[in-house]
Amino acid sequence: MKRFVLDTAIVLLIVLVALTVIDVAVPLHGQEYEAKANHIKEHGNEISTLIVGNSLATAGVDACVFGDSCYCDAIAGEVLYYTMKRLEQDLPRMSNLRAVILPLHYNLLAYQYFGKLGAHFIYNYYRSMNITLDTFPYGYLYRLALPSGKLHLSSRGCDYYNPQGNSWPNWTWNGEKQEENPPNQCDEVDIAIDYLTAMARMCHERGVRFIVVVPPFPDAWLEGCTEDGMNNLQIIADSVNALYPIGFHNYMADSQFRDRSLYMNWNHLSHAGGTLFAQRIKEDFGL
Amino acid sequence: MLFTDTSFAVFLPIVFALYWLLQRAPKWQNALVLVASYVFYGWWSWRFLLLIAFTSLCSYVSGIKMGTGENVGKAAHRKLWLWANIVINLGILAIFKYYDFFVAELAQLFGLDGDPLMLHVALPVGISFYTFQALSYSIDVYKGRVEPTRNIVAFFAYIAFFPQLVAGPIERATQLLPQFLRSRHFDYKLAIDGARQILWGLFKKMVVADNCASYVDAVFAQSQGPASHLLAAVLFAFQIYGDFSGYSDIAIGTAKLFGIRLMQNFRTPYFSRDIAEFWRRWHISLTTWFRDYVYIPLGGSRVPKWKVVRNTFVIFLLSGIWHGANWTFVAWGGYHACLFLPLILLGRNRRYTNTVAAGRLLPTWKELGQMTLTFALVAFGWVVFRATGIPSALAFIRTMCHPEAISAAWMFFADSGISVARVGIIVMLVVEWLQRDKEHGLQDADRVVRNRWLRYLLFAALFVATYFFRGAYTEFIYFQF
Repeated sequence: MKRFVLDTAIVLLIVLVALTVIDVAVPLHGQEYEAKANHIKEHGNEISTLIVGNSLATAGVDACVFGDSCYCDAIAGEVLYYTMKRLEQDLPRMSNLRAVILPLHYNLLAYQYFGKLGAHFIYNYYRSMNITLDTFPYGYLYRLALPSGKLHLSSRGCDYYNPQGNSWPNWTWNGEKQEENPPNQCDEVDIAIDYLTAMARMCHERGVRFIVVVPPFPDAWLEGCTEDGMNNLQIIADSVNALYPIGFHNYMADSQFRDRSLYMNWNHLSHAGGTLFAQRIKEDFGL
Repeated sequence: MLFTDTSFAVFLPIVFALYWLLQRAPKWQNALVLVASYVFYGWWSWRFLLLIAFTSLCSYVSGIKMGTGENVGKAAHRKLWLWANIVINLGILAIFKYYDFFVAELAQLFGLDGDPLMLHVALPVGISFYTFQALSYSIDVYKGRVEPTRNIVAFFAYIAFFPQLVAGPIERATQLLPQFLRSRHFDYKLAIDGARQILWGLFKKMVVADNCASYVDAVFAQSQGPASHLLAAVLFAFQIYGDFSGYSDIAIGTAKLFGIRLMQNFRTPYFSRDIAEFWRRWHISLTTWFRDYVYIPLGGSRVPKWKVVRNTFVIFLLSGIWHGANWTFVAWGGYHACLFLPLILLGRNRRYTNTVAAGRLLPTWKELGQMTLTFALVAFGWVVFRATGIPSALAFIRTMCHPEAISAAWMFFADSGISVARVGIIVMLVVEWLQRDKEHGLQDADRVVRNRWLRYLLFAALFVATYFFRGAYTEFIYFQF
């Protein structure tokens, strides 16, 4: 018995050491959640327009267009569920908030299914939400780890790709179809409605406008979209709107965004595209 | 409580420590196992504990009645008690699992509204597993293969033993019950092998199955391109294997920590050379249950050919419907019966009883072809099994069989969305191929990695990898059965 306990303990000890090292190392790569949450804690009352969502927001909607009081709280790869949870946490900290803008992906929850960002993404999320032993055994190590905030976020919350300006990486796109992440309407519409309704309710209760936009996509990407998929987006918006008023517009095939120079890859706008898109939102919704 | 829950990681060491503290008092060990098993099950639903207790009590009483002095020799009395127990147990199973289905089907047939007659009750987790385990006891007592026990605690522990309570392996009284009736002593080798088997099971479940599930669920939820369908069909084959055999590994490994040996439930079934071999290697505890308690009593294969055909269809259709009240399961059973039948009629169903490529590192081209064909046939069948209905299964197959589906092979290696699943599958296949004559992927690791510290590092690395590359939370598929 002693030998068994010893063997098991050694393996678990090595596991513990490995997880501790990982726990310390992860913040060194940038803890966007933590940094963004801290910004909102400290400057929440200065924010009047909040951009939430995933890379369609971080590399899709230029926060600068909305003025100094706009902040991009989005994180690349974030799924609707986490957006909802973070909004729930952050809304009470922004007493002057007037509008929340959410760019909605055609695939809705696709990244939740495909889990491309994997453990690192979830890991950072759990730590920033202070989810500890109950749900995530190693969240508590966060308190022992180095202080985060290693990122140099801009005042608008754009991520570390370009700390002084916006979040667009320096990519170029040749306009060809990229085979990975093909469009697919694979998500459960009901789940999307649940999450969006929850966000709409939270905003409604605080007198904040909730604006959902489907960003433009290049022609190569649109080829893979189905009519059902397009209709689903409207169904979702109508379902939420029936309970709480939201602003909704689908820009997927918008004629103003057909030039491929407006895209940095086959499903993300370039900086120029993101600026143009932000201007359109501003005009269309009177922000 | 799930094996992959944090709560189980706390529960298991506590029960383990208490269990071995009671090493000198086997009766108390059994009492602890019983309490722990009921806590384990009650975590999910304490109400259905009454059902397990009732099932256990019925089987216990019928066993005593079949074996007591006054009834010994009175065949009619013994048969009466046997059938009473069978009717009660299968009755409970039928009510919870099949009643609503058949009411709905009959109502639809006659154009009526069956809803008022339906019960709409939740299906108790693991009901098919513990019911079959209880039945095996009664039948074995009746057949004289096992002595009826009067030790009620040991018997209840045998029915509810938590590692295999909700998804098997379906144990036989002849194998498991005697282990609860004798004293158990801590066996280092058995325990360490159990711990390794748990680790391997967690890897298969959390890394392979749960990462495949993301893709499979997405494609089955919403129709996509032919290649996606074919890829989803292949990934589901690995998902269901990783899920169920992973569960079995965790169950068997956990039992070993308590000095209890459970039967092997899977023997690398995807390395089978024909369907008959596949069925000797897949869900062994269920297939042997049907073989021993249904197929052989019906005459097996030593009867006229028309009866062989009948018997084959009976066990495969029963096996299908055992999984759930849906025509897809019946169709899946029928499909496998059709694949199995030619082999048994030609007397070629026992051609491959040894391990493939025994004594060699690699298979021959012929063996590789046979294994690939068998896997393809099995994976095709899983589409029907996974679909929500026959029409959706047919639609899925139609899309999957389009010539464009050929690019699924490229997608498997190129799609970054399944990168973790892909690596997990490859690791699993390589390890299990090398260990194909062993009980699990990490058995006898000492012989492969002789350095003790290297072994520690290897196991720790597997643990950490499992933890960080686990897929989105997915329940065990076989819990629904």
